[in-house]
Amino acid sequence: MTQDSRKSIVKLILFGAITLLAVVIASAMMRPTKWFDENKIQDRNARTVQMMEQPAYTIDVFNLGDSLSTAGFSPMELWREQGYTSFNIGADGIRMQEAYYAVVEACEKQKPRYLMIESLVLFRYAMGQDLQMTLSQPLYHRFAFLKYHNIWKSLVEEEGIMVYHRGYTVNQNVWEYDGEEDYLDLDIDDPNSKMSVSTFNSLVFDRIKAFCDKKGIQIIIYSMPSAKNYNQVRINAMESFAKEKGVTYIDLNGKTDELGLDWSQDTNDGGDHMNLNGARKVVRYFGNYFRNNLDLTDHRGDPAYSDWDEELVEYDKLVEEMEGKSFLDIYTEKKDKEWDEKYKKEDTTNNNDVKK
Amino acid sequence: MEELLEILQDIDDSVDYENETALIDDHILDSFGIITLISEIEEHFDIEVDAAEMTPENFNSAAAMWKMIQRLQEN
Amino acid sequence: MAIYTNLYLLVFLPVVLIVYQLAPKKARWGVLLAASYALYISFSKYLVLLLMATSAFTWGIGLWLDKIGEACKAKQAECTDRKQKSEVKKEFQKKRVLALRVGVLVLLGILFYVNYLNFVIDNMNIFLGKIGTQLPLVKVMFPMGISFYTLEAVGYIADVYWERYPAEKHLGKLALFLSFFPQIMEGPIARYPDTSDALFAGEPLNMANLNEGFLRIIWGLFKKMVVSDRLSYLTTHLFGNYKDYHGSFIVLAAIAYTIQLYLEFSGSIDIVIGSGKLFGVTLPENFNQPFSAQSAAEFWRRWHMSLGNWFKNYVFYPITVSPMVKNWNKTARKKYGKYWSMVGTSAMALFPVWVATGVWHGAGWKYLFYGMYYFVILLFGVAMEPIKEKNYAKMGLDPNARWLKILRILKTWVIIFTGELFFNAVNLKAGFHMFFSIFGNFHISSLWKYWPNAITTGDVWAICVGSVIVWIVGFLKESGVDVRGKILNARTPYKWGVYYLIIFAILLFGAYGTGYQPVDLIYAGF
Repeated sequence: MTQDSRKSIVKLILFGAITLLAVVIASAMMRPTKWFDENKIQDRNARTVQMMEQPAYTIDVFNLGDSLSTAGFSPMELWREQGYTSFNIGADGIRMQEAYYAVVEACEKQKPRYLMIESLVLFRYAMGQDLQMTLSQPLYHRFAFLKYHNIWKSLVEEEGIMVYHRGYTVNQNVWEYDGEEDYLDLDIDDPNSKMSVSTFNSLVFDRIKAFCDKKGIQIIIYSMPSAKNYNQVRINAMESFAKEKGVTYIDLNGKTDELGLDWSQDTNDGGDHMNLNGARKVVRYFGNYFRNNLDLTDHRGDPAYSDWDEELVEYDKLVEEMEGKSFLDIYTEKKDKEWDEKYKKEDTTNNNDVKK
Repeated sequence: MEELLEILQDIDDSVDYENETALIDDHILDSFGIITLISEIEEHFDIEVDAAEMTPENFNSAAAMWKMIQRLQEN
Repeated sequence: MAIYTNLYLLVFLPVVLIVYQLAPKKARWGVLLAASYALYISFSKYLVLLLMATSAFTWGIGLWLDKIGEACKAKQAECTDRKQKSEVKKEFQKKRVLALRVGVLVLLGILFYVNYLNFVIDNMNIFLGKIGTQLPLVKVMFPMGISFYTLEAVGYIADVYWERYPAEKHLGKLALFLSFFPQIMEGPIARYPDTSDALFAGEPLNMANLNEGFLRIIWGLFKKMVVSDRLSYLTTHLFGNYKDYHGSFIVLAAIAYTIQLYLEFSGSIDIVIGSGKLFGVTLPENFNQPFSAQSAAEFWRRWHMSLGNWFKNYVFYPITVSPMVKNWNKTARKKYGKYWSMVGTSAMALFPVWVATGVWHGAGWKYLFYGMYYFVILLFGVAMEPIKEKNYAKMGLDPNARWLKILRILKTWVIIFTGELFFNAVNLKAGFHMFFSIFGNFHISSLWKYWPNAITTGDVWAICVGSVIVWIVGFLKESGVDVRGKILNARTPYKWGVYYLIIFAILLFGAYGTGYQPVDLIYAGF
């Protein structure tokens, strides 16, 4: 090797080392909750950031999954019903790789007894995307600077309108499902997911399970009622998957009568996600199930958990204020009102049916 | 050569053709200039410029064009 | 594995670089070819066989042409007089034309089958439907990059036919030229002598190339991730819900899409050219500050240059010097004079170029319209050229005055924005709907009144600041300042300072992260 090329290699290594060091330092310094108003963090990190602020070792149940899981499960309702503490740690369109780190990160200051996994995440698979995720998720996990890089936005943006209650955002919009009643017999056409659990997802699941086993967390897989996402093929696939892995599986799609689910009232987007009505029914079912089958403590009345009672009051107030709307409705209304005030004069000259 | 320079001057008289060596590469002579140029030189020198000759090397300078014209006249 | 992903940038590219460097010089081209096919398989799986077959076919046609040429020379050597010689040449010329036709028709035939057959069937069915019959659509898999490597292959065959260079004997070398991994997704479209030798030479890596390539790659990422990917939220929303918007929003949509397309296409081409540079391969440039163009014609000499050059070399010029056009030119000159014969010739040569440029982007009436739009504008430009000069003189204006230049640039912008509006509209009908809705009820103030919440204040900030930085660099380049050269020649601390600045700007302000869907390359779909 010539001296020149040796020098070049040293330079390359030095450059890489400085870059890495800078990212490490920036990551170590990253304190999203300290620097920024929690309400300004509205993106995917909102739940993680709120999780950081929970008192240590107070959550009994984690609820993991994509938007089906976060829309259909309200921890505040479970508290009201049974006094169990829970938290939605999932995120929209979550994949297994991200799900794994969501569990690991949530367990930094918590030691729940149960981890509920909504099953749709196990069906999601697209090779290219998943390869990409496999590479980036550990990076985001190790380097907070990358994970929270979007945080500069809170400097220029106004306070967000979404309010998270233990990872749940209230949505009272009603949009009925008017398709086939026996949706379990239908076919599902979704390019981003499969009808069975891929080997890849199964492997990541094993990783999550190994982590939970070590921590003494018991996994329960369940399928949220969703006319758009479930059919008998999937439910059968999940049943045999859960059996193979030795975990409990609860399918709510086959129990809609037991839940008292009304597809004209309980979904916010035509049979895809639950709204608050639906979520209440789901939580009531789980509450009873937990009480009858699991060994959880009712924390109501325990002064160490008084923050839950306080939050429940706020939560109920918000639910009342929102009067059957979603945060998007409220946002639009707010904007319209602002605009009315600002441009009233100008607009009296125009008529009402102005397009945008 | 004189004749060629005259034809070129006719197309665009703001260029110093005797010294310019990147007529095509620097887009001094654009595609439409070339169309005119070819019909002019075909008529004046009684030659056939075919597709194979349409390279920047043949048109980048007046000297190159002259060389091409002479070569084509020989054939 | 697209070239802007961390899988490519952090894993694939470094591994290929290391293997390349460790391999013996003679085997390095093989490393590049293997890497190219590996990347291709990650996109199009077994369709890599089509790419391989196309390479072998192109190689075979080249050899065939060469063989005819040699046979012709051998026979000519036996001849004694000139007349005999030229007769021999004529005889062999027929064979050569046959080889050329076979080559070009097969290559374009595959392209037609993949890209256009269903479009043709669809439109035929509209008529067939009236007489009560229908043709079935064919199921087609899309081989990544086919629009790009097909043009390269056709160019190669045509050049060999015109004897601009001898046919390549080495199949691997030609295969590498057609499949080189940075280029395969969206060009630039190279000519064989541009890259083949450098690709095959297996020169060792060196610091100068690594620096230049690296700077180019991170600059491209900056353009794509900080500005373009954020803009795509806005444009997807506006073009997708075009019926809800009119007036200023449509103008915004056209401008935003143009900026998005430019920064995304030129940014990914920066990554492509940078990747090539790392291995010491200089790929042709594709952009040269297109928005300083003073006319539509100039714009096309500065925008997607490798495509423009291809059409100029293999469509425009051959048509210009074809017997049909020449004959027309001769008669028209006598009949209608120089001016009209010139306009007529231009029209004959420009029409096929712009039909082809339009539909090259895809099968669809809007693309055809896009091509015709530029055909009309360019032809108008040609026709106005002599008149314009006279008018300037008449009005006593200096055509090079600064304000006139700026006015012409602005005029060109309007042409570009309008073109891209149709280009990106859902379909031609939507394009017209959008275009005409600009003129109804135009209020600038609707922009802030009805700002779609798909795009936040933070995004707007990133887009504006990022665009201004890109614009400043472009402006300096246009004024003759070699920005890249200055950075590369600076002392290490300054140079690294710039690198870190760009890298951290991307890490902090780039659109990436979980739940964020990376935006697919627009031109990779063509």
